Amino acid sequence: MNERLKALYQEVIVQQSKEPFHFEQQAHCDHKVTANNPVCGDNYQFYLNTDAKGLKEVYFHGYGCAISKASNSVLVQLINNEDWEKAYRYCCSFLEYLRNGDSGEITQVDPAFEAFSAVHEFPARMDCATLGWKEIKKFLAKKIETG
Amino acid sequence: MIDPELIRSHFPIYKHHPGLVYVDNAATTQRPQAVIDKISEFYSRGNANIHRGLYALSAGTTADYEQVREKVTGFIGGKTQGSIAFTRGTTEAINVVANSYLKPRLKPGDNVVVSAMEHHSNLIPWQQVCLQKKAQLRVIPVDGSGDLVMDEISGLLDHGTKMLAITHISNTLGTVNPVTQIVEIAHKKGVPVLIDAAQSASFYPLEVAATGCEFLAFSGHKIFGPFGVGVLYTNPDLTDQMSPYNYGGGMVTHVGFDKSEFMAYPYNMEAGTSQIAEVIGLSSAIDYLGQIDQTAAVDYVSGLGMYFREKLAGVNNAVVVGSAKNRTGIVSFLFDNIHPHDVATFLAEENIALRAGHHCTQPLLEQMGVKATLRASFSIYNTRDEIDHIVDVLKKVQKFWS
Repeated sequence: MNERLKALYQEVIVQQSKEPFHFEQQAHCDHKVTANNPVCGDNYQFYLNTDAKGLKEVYFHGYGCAISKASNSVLVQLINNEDWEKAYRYCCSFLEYLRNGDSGEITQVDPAFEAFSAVHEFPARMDCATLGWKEIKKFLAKKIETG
Repeated sequence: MIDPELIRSHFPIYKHHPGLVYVDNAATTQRPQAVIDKISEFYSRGNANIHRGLYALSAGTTADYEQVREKVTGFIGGKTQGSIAFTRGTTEAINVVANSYLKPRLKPGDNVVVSAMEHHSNLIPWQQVCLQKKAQLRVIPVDGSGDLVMDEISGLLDHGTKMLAITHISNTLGTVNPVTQIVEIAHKKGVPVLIDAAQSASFYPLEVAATGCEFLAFSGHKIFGPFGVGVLYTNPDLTDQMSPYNYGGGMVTHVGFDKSEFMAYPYNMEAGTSQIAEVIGLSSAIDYLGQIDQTAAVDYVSGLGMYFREKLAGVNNAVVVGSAKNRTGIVSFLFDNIHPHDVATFLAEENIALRAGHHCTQPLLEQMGVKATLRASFSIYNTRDEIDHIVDVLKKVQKFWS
């Protein structure tokens, strides 16, 4: 196994994909967000509970590769019980971090991001890592805008 | 006999990518130097538009272009000239038949029959026309091993059936369908048949005159030819029933402001400037295939598929999807503990090019109980050594994940 692969499939990603955080279907929730990639067949559902200030308990479930599952697991861990603005900033920062690495103007680097630092070396896998974050970001942007 | 080393020497991709293990031939094949040279030669020496110019270059190109129709007719075992139209690919050819032939005669309550193993391109065009015309889409089931349930075909056909569209070879499972038998069953009920030959045209005899199928479609890029060119064969008895597909220049006999009159098939299928270089390149690909023993190629490629399946039995947690009676060198497989995309990334790092995903056959995979697979699809330049290498890497991947 070469160094590039070792960098991509770090322990954190393998672990998170095998035991993802809050990975279970929810019969009831305040909002559902779907992250679907028709090209590869990845399909996730996020279950969001909310109050006036922001997100409460967040769960997800679905089908996809290790990168997408681990990435969504980290996403859910970070935004769980976060207010709207902070959750939104996490999404922006993560997406920027994957696009530009450390060189961008990232406002908020979380140590959890670093597990995904090698993804930009694998352009074919970029969608796997960013799919859930993009959809959640869209949801949060709308929520912040409409109040 | 197939000599893969000799064949590899015809394909310049291997010069530029030493060590490349290319097993994504169901997506597209590589191109031999002869095809690349032919296209280059056309642009260097013969470049002119067809059917319009009175000068020598245009006349020469027109003659070359029109001769390819004859060559294709021979290639697919046709007997009558005038049955070949050029399209952009298999997908467009099927859309042409769905819209130019079927749509005007499909009435509410009629039906179209396809199989559960169709590529989306031989499913959606029919499905959409059926939805527009309030007709029914009926589906020939596929059993657990990936074979068509042949006994059910006849029962699905009735006086309302206006088309049976079936793939010759499943692009996902590698199942080779008994198309001659299927055409017989359909013709007993007076139903026309379209054969999707995208995966079979390279080596399998198509024999359109012998089978009597009404339509057949395939793409140049899956038979070592250029991208962007496809072939539609229409049975000579039906060519006068093909209404224009697109409208524009080159397909008209008279144009006025109030109405226009159109040329006959195949010219009414080819509005605008054709993909001339690609058609010329296709001709070269057919010449290349003509130098290869087709029976030996079928045996060789199926043999690689069989060898790979046997080898996969020795890899922990590897499962082959489909076990049809007659299969070609297309093998879908997966690991029950690793997603296909993660496996494909590991393979890509070892210079192994294969496909992971649903292969444009979502309904089929759903039925087989899987969401995505890895797919290795072999051709005449692949070797057993390459398969051994793939299997070694798969074992490493398995070790890493367990």
